[in-house]
Amino acid sequence: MSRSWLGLTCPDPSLAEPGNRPLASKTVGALLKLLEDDRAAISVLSAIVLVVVIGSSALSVEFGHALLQRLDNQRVADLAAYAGALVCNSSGADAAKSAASNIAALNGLTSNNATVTTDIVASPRGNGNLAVQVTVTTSLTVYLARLLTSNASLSVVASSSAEIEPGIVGGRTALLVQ
Amino acid sequence: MMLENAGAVAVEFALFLPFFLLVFAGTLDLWYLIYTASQLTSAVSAGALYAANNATLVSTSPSTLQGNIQRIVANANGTSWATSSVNVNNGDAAHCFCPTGSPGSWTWGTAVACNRACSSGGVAGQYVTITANHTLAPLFPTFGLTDNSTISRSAMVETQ
Repeated sequence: MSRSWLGLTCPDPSLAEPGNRPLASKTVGALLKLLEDDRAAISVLSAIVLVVVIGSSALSVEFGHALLQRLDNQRVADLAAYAGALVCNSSGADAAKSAASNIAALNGLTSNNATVTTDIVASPRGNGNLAVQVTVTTSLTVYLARLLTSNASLSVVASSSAEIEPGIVGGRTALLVQ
Repeated sequence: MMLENAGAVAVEFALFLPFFLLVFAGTLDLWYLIYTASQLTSAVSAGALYAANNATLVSTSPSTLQGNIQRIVANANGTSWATSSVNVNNGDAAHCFCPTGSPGSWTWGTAVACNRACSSGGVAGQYVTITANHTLAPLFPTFGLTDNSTISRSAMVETQ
């Protein structure tokens, strides 16, 4: 059998000839052969680098996708919190929470694909008013990154608060994005 | 020539180059799609926040509100970058609604008195819907991010 591939020459075959040499010498000989063997050097390097390149590309694209998902979630959280704060004065806290989840569902985040939690909290502005806080969590399936991780999904969270202005029935609310 | 050694590295590199180019092209393509979708989302958000901040226009001048939102969405990322359709409270500023459905396929239902409880949850209110489209044809499969080379984003804002 020919010892060359693609016209490449081999290292001196006598170095690794099994012959009658002792075991340690055989092992060292085999390692030496491997070190001196320059066949397919770029192939080996490319195969290793390809894994790194696919990994980093996957991470960047998947991270970008998660950022996009968060942008979408943030939009829905903003609108839901605003809708909740809007009806709080006229219809009460329960109606406000219900209106917020309703708007989240109307914008595509239902209990099937997202977790929407609504709370009445102190306004983040610290002025003593109340605010409707909506936190939206969705699970994003990852594709390419599965080659590198066993986690098949990412958790994408967005939160928003809208202040309830007291005394104005169904009136203006200050929208606070956090 | 078969015994020539010199071009071997170049040949091996040439064998692997398509794989690298495929990965680079795919990454660039997906990244551009994600970037464009985020721009469209920002445009829709801008339109939706305008509707929320100018809620009084729903009853005083719906056509002005509609035109302004359409201009905001269309030009948020450059002149006439996206197309949009805007629906101001189903064309009925005097009533409230209990809309149901999902983005892009909402059902307004019948007009009811404002602040009446809805069977679908919440109370009846006035709403503005925005649906924006931008055309983009990616080279690679897109995991459902586009449909017929069109990226679409819809939002429903409660204004009262």
